[in-house]
Amino acid sequence: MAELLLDSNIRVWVFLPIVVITFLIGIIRHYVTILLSSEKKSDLQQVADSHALIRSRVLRENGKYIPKQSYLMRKSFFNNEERGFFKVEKRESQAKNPMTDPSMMTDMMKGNVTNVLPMIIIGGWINWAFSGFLTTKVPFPLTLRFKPMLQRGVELASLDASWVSSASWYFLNVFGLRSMYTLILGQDNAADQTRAMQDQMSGSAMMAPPDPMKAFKAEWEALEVCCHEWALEGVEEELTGGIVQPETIYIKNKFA
Amino acid sequence: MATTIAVRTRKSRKSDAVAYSELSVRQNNAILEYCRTSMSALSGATAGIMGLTGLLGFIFYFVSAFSLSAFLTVKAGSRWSSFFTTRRVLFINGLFGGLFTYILFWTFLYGMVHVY
Repeated sequence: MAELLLDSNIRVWVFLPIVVITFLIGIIRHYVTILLSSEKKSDLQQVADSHALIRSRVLRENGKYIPKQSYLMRKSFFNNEERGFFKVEKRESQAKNPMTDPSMMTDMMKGNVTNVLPMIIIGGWINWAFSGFLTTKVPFPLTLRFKPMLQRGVELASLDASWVSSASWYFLNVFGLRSMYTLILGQDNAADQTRAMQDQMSGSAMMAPPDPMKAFKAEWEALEVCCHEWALEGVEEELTGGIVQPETIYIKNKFA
Repeated sequence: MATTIAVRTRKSRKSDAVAYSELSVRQNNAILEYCRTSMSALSGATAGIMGLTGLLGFIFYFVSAFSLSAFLTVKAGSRWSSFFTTRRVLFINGLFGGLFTYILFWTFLYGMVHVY
């Protein structure tokens, strides 16, 4: 079948173990993250603020199902020039320095322990234990550009690009098993390394809690431009199947 | 005295207001995603065991993906509009995300069976 004969022991002792290890590491990571995760503490003020924001958003989205008067009443509660919630409430910015807050430091530590450390250790271990094997061949032809991606650790210039080395097979598994974790562990699993890496890149894991004043301002603006559009017009007639009486809407006397 | 009178017999509807439950929409999409992933994994395994190579394997993926779409369409039946906003989501959703899973399983089982 293949023009290169591989020892079938490689299949049993390299190819299969890499798949199994990568998969099981993902599962373990999921449960360790659950084990280590701590309840996020938030004080009453923060909860109240966030719920006000949620209420305002809900009003913007579903305001068309309540009568105009009710809509305006709620809108005025938030946006009134003198007494509106978003106008009156003043919050000081809560940008804490993560270095001084010990609980935040432990959170960061936990994140690193569950995400970065296994990545380095397992990746390094796989590279060390299974280095230099050609494990498999992708069943479709590839161009030479894929050689550095698929043949990490095996630098052979004349080798066909569709052969995959052990280190690259590990990385293929890391990225490819993501949807399998979704299948097995559910939608919001913690097994996914790639998402954690994205967090690391963008630095969002370290981001301070957002400034409530800015959020209020943004929500105020959004609510201000939102206008009421009654969506249940004529719903009574539709429900009862009644006949709507003709209604005169427009009379114009030409010569008056 | 010519007087113009306009009469409205029925209040004009602004739009067909359909309220979607955001949670249910997401739930349905998640279920579709599950179907796609399972189908990709299974068809990838099949292709690998059968030893399909090259273009044939990709054709096999799209054939199986569209047969899944056909099954879903049959399953949703004529009442699909009560589950999904557009019918297209049955066909398009996760088509290329599933391709990656497919390739992984294809490569894996092809390697297990045919390379050594």
